[in-house]
Order: sequence, then C-alpha cells, then structure tokens
Amino acid sequence: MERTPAAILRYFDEHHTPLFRFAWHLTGSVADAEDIVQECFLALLRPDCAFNPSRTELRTYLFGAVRNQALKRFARSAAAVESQGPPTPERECLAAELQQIVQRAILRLPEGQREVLVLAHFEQMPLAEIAEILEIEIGAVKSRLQRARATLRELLSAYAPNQERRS
Amino acid sequence: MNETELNEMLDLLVAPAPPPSLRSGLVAALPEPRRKVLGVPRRWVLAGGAAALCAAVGAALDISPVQAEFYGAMDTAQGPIYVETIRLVDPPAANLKWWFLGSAFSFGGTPTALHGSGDMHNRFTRTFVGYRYMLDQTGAGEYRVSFSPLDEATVKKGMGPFKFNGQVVAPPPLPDPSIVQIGEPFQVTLYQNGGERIYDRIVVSWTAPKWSTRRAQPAATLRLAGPQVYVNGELALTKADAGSGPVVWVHLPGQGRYLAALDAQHNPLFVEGGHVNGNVMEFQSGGTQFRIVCNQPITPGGDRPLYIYHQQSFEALLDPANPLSQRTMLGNAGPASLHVQ
Repeated sequence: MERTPAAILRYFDEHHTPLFRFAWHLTGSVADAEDIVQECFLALLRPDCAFNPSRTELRTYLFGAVRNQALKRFARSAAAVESQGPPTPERECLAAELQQIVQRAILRLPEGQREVLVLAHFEQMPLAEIAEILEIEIGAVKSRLQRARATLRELLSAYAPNQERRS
Repeated sequence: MNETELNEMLDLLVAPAPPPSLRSGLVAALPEPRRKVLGVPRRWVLAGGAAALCAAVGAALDISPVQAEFYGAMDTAQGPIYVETIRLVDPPAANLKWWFLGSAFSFGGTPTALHGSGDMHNRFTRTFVGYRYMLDQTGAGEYRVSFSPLDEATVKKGMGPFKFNGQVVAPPPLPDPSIVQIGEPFQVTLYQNGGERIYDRIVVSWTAPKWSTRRAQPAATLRLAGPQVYVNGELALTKADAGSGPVVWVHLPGQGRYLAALDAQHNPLFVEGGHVNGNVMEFQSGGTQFRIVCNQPITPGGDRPLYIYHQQSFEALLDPANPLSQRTMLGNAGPASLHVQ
C-alpha cells in the first residue's frame, strides 16, 4: 500500500465520511471527531504505524483506529457532549430536541454497546466486520447489539410517537 | 416501543457532515513538496506578481478598498445599539481582481448577547468562507467578543430557499476572544496571501453608520426607522430601528407572519393589499389591518402599492416554548423571503 501524502488524501476522500460519523456518534462532538479522523490518517504515515494490508482491510483498520482514539479521549475527559453554540428558535425546535434526546441516550450506553450499535445501525456494517474491528466474537457483537437496543427502548419509550395512544 | 419505532427514533439522529476543515486540516498537516523558482517558492513569486500588478493599476485608478458594508441594530435599555461591518481589501488595488466575490452578513441576539456572521462567496470556486461572532456584554459599554468558523448550516440558513451549491472552507486563524469597548473596532481576516488581505472591520456603536442614511436606497427597499406598528388600530409594537430590505414582515403570535413588499418578483402568493406613502405603510390581510408609522420616509417617491403574503407556515419554524414566539415581531428580510412558500 502506498503511503505518500497524495495517497493518504486519496484514502481520506474514500473513507472519511463514515469514519467521521462513527467518531461523532462515539464522542458527540464535531471537534473531537475531526481531530480523531485527522489523527488516524496522519498515523498511516508514521514509521510505527501498525497497519498491515496483508492482514486487514484499510477500512477495517481505520474504524478500529477511530475507536481506539475515541477511547483515549474518553479516558482523558468525561465530557462527551459538546455545546452546540447559542440557542436559536430553530435549534430549540422539537425535531432538534428529539435528536438531542436520542444522542444523549446513545451516549449513555456503555462503551462496548455504543460501538456495536453505531456500526450496525448507522453504518449498516456486517456483524463479522464489526467483530473484526472490535476484536470480539460475533456472538458478543449480537448480544451487545441486543442489550443496546433494549436499553434504548427503555430510555426512549417516553418519546415514542405512539406513546400517548398507548397510555 | 417496538423495533420499527426504535429504528425510526434512531434515524432522527443524523450525524453532521464532515466539516471542510477536516480535509484542509489534514492537508495542512501533511508534509508538502516545495516548488521553487530561482530558490523562491513558486506561490510566493505568483502572489508577489499579482500584488505588484494590482498595486500599479490601483495606484493609477484610486480604487476603494471597500468590498461590502452591513449593519444591524438592537434595542437596549440605553437606546439602539448598532454593529457595523465593513469588508475591506488590502491593498485597495487588489479589490479590482476580487470583483466576483459575494458577501452575506447576519445579526441578532439580545441586548446583552449579540451575535452575527459574515461570509464571503467565491462564485468561481463555489466556496464560502466566513465566521460567526458572539458579543457578550461584560460591563457598561464593554463586550467580550469571540469567534467560530462559519458552518454550512448557517450559510444555508442565510440563503433561504435557494439551493446551496458549494462548499464551506475554513477561514484563516480567527482572533482569540478579547474585550472590546463600544466604538473600538476589531478585525477578522477572511483571506490572506502574501501581502494581500481581505478582512472585516467590525465596530459596536451607539450611532448608525453614516453611510446608512447618506446613500440613496434601491427603489424596492423598505426602510423602517423608529417604526410603530398598529394592528387593527391598537399599538402593538415600537422599535428604535428595524433596518431595511425588500421585505418587511410582522409576526402575530399563533397566526404566522405577514410579509409586505414593493416588488414581489412575480411570486403569485403576494397579492396587492396595501400601500406605502412617506413615513407610513398600511396593508391588510384576511381582515387584519396593519399600519406602520416611521420617523423617516419608508421608501422614496410617492404613494406606491404593497404586495402582501400571509405566511402561516412561519409558525411551524418557531419554538412555542421560546418567549419570542409569543410576541408580536417586526423585521425586514432579504430577497430570498420573496420566494417563501
């Protein structure tokens, strides 16, 4: 695999969007997600980079790298949700509030469950690839996903569209 | 909650698009091969040549450095406060080569926490570069100013219903937060290359910019100086200044907003429903009568018809929990508002 600045930019253009989304879902912060994704691509140029193209797909390696960087940041700071700037009528509208509620619920999930949920639901990634990225068994991926969804159902049930009709 | 409902709620959460600064930051961090001409980096040679050419032409023609001007006003307990932004090119002669740039500004907030934005649109490269600023009052006549890069959502908001066809790029490093006094200008750089710079000069002031009253208004502009708004004969609102634009609007709580324009630009939703003459504009819609009395002429010329549109859907944009949504509001808007649905 080529590891020149031009090649890194090609890999960036190909992979950065889902990586940024993944980092954002894990951290809840645009700034953190930006730093993490940049760092992962820059790391490819370093002599001590652990990526081995004969063993892993680049995309799988990069998702793993984003995850590791996010974990490091969580260890440094407990603040996961960044301020979104000054409130405006638009931002405070109902849809935005619901988005924030969903985001907070996802950020409340245990780390392992959140990673699986984001990769499975938002990135539509096969369970086998998730298992490879997280270095766990497929069975563990399934059970984490089930637990994550059960927790979210509980956390979000009050906001479900049909809640009023049921109660 | 079943699986489908959970999926629907999760799908509400859409991750933001990667900011353009992600790529530009990576590019800046990557080692770059240097190209040199006679031992000097090639881009320095090109920038120096362009600057020298512009300086020579500009010196001969006495070019103005001003690219654009804007001001916003806010009522405070001490009277209206104004924030003026002037976009300047240095050296002035370089203004010649930037004729194709577009500008947009915004302003709002509360008397103690003002905010606004400025952006520059390169029509050739379809790129937008800009900033947002916050002015938080820290004392009498004193504000703490802080900046953040302009995001795509703000640009889109400023474009109204028009399609966004471009890319927002990161501005040069923005100034650190600082304390500014009323009347003390501060600057934000939007472009810098060699000795050439495009920047905004912003100043908070107790007086309106002199150019705001000196210049002739465009024929279809409505200017609201010291407006008093009467709804069905009752005084509903007074303001020290409501700015100027091709559209004036009045929001009535729970009813949406009523837009009035001199030139509706062929939008059939606007129907003739009033007139403006001197310092007074009057119009009606759906049985509601509006009369706005200003302390200066609203538009040049004599009696002219007004075209009115009652935009009920405006209510859906407001958060009922926000106290502002429950008040009568008066504002002006740009030409994009002539195309609202």
